[in-house]
Amino acid sequence: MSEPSSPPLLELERLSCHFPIRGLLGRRAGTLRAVDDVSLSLREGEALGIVGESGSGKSTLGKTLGGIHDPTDGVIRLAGEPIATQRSRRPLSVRARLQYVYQDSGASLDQRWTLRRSLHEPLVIHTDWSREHREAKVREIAGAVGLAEEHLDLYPHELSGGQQRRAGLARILVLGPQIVVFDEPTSGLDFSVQATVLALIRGIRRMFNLTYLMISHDLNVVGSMCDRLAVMYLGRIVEIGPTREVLGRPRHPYTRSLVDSLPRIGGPRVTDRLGMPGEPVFPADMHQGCGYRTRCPIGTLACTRIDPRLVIKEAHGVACLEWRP
Amino acid sequence: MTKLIKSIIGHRTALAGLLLLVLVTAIAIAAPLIAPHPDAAESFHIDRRLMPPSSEAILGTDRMGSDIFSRVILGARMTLLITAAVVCSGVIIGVPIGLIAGYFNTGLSIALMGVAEVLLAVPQIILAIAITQSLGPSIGSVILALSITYWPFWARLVYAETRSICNEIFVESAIALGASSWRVIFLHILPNIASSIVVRTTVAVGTTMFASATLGFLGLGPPPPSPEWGRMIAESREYLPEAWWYAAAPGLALFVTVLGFSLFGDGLRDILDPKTRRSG
Repeated sequence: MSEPSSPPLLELERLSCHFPIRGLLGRRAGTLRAVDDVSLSLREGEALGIVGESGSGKSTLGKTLGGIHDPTDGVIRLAGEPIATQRSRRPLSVRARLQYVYQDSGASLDQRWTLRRSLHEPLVIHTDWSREHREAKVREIAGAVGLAEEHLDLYPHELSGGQQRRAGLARILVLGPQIVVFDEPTSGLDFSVQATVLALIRGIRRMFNLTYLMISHDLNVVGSMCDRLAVMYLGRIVEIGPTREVLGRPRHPYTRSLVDSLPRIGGPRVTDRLGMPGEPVFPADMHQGCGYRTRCPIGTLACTRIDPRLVIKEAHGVACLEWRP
Repeated sequence: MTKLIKSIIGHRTALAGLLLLVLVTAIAIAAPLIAPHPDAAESFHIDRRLMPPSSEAILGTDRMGSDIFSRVILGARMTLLITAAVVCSGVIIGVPIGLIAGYFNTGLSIALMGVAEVLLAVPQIILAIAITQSLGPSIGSVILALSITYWPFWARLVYAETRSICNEIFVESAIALGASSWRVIFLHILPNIASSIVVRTTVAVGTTMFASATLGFLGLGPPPPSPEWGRMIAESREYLPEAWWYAAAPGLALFVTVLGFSLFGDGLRDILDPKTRRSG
């Protein structure tokens, strides 16, 4: 965090993504604050993990970055230039540099297209290369993600789950992105495949010098892959910092519960230490105060009134009134 | 394409349907050559009225003394012409409307689907009767009336399929990749819903054929003496049950043709299921 010379590769400033909740006859009944006032930045070559439970807004954050949702408020800057504002179509060059990988990256393949055609498509859209030129690139990338040449003539349902994810990754990589947003890259895979997919993701990061934003609910996955971690709760970042700091000395009570809930061999029973009862409140029902107060073991009366801001000390930020350095 | 033909040949129902269709179409195309008495099909021969099947007229003669076999064969042309025109215009009008309404999903699509639903709410045949009645009986008015009443079937189907496929990740990811709407609609959505359209179309051919025969039966089809199956069945009613061959021949022709399309449609539905598609 001590390189003020060059602007960060990716910068989010007070980014929000809200969805209207429609009641009877399409009347606006409320607002779902899926992502609320999120600011963070990524340096080139860094890997940032975003963790949080289901419904915390991590996927919406990823999709807003990937250009699938429009932000309601705030700015996204790529190398200092704003790329996503409300109601403006994102230029192709930006789409190529910043790519979003779906939870099941294989699902981004059209079932009726052969792999070769699916891998050519990004290049057809983004470049005016000749067929041979595209084919060479496709083969290069397919090889890099570990797909054999004969796989290119197959349809997605003829591939295994792991191969489908490789193919989904290849589709992203042919455009030569700088930043890749991974959304739950290992969910739904069995452990041995998870390991190979993670090894692949790590490998292509080195090979193509990529910057990662990795969304997951699995602390072990992001903990092993990422330099920094951001913890999200109800659309907000409640803690952000270097992975070792966040996992080793968590400052927010929510992070502490997440870390405590990790099972360890020979450690105490997880259920004995779990200090987090109940479910998160529905994000539309939040009115004021800290979003976590309904489940917080250390909350005070002030927490019901004051909305904590992210306070950053020594590159480690936390949004909690009770935290003292 | 060769794969499709192979799987049709391997599918008993589809093959049976296809053979019937090939037979009927071949007869319709070659009608003037096959018909034993083409000149006797539309003329009046008082001395040969209502003759039972014999070696001279293998399906007998009608109340005008015309050869029924020739009339049925020439009628196949008429029926197929009307059906083809109606189905083509139904696809040409209905599919783009469904695609555009489903993909863009704006106020316009609500309006378009509203029109389609109003047309579907009225019984098709009654609407068609009203239109042909006001235009006067002719081939053209039958085609127009049935086209107006049948396009919503395609529009509704394509709209629903498009809406559901737009939620698929591969469509979302193609849009995120920067693909143009044109590209997404015609290269991703249309091929993925093509099999439903094809199946719907083959089934629709049967219903359209029935509807056009119904209009003919009610005297709203092409005017006499041009041969039309529906009208032939209508004329024969006065002479039943004595002149049984009079109603049987066009009735059987209609039955066989519609059966052919239904069998073929059912077979295609099985064959075109994407999960059974193989590359090699």
